[in-house]
Amino acid sequence: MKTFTMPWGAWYGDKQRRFELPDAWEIDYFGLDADQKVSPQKVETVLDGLSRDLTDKKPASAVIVVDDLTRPVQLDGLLPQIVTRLEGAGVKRSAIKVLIGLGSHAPLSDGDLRKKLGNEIVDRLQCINHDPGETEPIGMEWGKTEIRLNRHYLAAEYKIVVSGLTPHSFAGFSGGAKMLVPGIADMETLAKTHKSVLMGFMGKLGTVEQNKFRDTIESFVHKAGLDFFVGLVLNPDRSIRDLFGGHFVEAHRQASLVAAAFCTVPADGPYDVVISSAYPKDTELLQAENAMIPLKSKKEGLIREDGTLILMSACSQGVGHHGLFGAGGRLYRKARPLRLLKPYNVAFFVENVDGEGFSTVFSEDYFFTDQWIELLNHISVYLPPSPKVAIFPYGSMQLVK
Amino acid sequence: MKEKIIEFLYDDSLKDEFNDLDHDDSLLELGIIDSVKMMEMISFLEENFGIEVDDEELMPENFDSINAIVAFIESKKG
Repeated sequence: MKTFTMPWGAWYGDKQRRFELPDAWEIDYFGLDADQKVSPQKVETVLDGLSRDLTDKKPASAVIVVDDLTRPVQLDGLLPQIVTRLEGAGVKRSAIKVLIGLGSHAPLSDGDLRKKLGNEIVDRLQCINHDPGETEPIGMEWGKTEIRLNRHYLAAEYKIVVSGLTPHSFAGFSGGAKMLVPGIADMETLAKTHKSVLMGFMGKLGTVEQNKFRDTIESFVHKAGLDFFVGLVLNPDRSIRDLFGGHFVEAHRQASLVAAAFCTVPADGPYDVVISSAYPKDTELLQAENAMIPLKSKKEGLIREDGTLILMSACSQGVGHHGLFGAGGRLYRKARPLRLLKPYNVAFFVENVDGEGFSTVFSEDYFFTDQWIELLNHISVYLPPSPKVAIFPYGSMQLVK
Repeated sequence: MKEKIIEFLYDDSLKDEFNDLDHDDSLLELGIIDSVKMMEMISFLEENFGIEVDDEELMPENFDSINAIVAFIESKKG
């Protein structure tokens, strides 16, 4: 048997897991290197920009918005340095809040906060999970929807957003203005955002330029205010590869260009089988669709018609929670086969999820298991004797050209 | 007009949803439309009701229910 490894369980051990494939399979393995880490000098340069802005504005209070555990970046190294800069500019520790931009994801527990932010931040600062019910209007409307954002955010004199950038199905790349809309918005704005995208009105994967969704949310953030954005380009091991800071549009554009160049891999299809992992967004089944990013970025020619797509996720937190799309959520609907996957045989390799949980997110028509041999046996009937196979171990952050 | 729109949207696999359909129900939330069906519907409306849908009119509130679609078409026709 041949073997390959897949990263497994972001935030929950981050192991390299070994899987076997028959000898006759021809494998193309599309890895990503963690061969570059951001230098301390680059961090200092960006934070010097923050200090200069603080010196000019002299705020008495500050808020730092960060993403949650469904997103891969670890902030325990960077956040204390930002807090030091704030304190150095005269902002008292008691006047600094860290706001988790959850959108309608589940609130982070104390343990989750410590994983994401580190003990130093959790012990020293007030850390708040965004509550869509605690919002105030920013004085703008989107169609008939009044845009409302978190009250702690709006009350702070100085506003900072820190986020990683990974390919995103409609925002192009995550981060930037998206951390605020929908990240810290009320339920009406959240629903409007997601409906606009689901109805195909705006947004595209991997592109922030001429992206109507991003243009729209950036107009709201201009109104609400955002003093300093720190955009992080990530390595596949979730460490920081590069960072950019400054104005939220310019810094996000710069970071997006670097992230796009790093995350894009060439692949000569069509393949008989594509295996793609949701890592490093593999905390829950509700995020497993991120394993489809390689296919979404190359809808034609990556998999042959009637080929097989294997989607993998550790689902360390099980099904997970989403206030809109999860069971009982406002946009929840019975899971049906996805149009994108219609031409293919689809199989899921997921752990920590039972049949009932699986069918709340994905159609019962899809095969799923947590036994690799069982999965290979299931798909064997669809395959030629020596199938050509593409493996995307970091599928949720891999764009294919 | 309503019947024509419903006939266009009808899908046998969503029989239950159509049986219980209130004309103010969200078509997206019922799974009756998604991004692909939406684009098909815009073309259908333009061809069958003599209207042109501008980019800035592509908003959920204009297309997310039968009544909203009808109100939108009527507003376009003046």
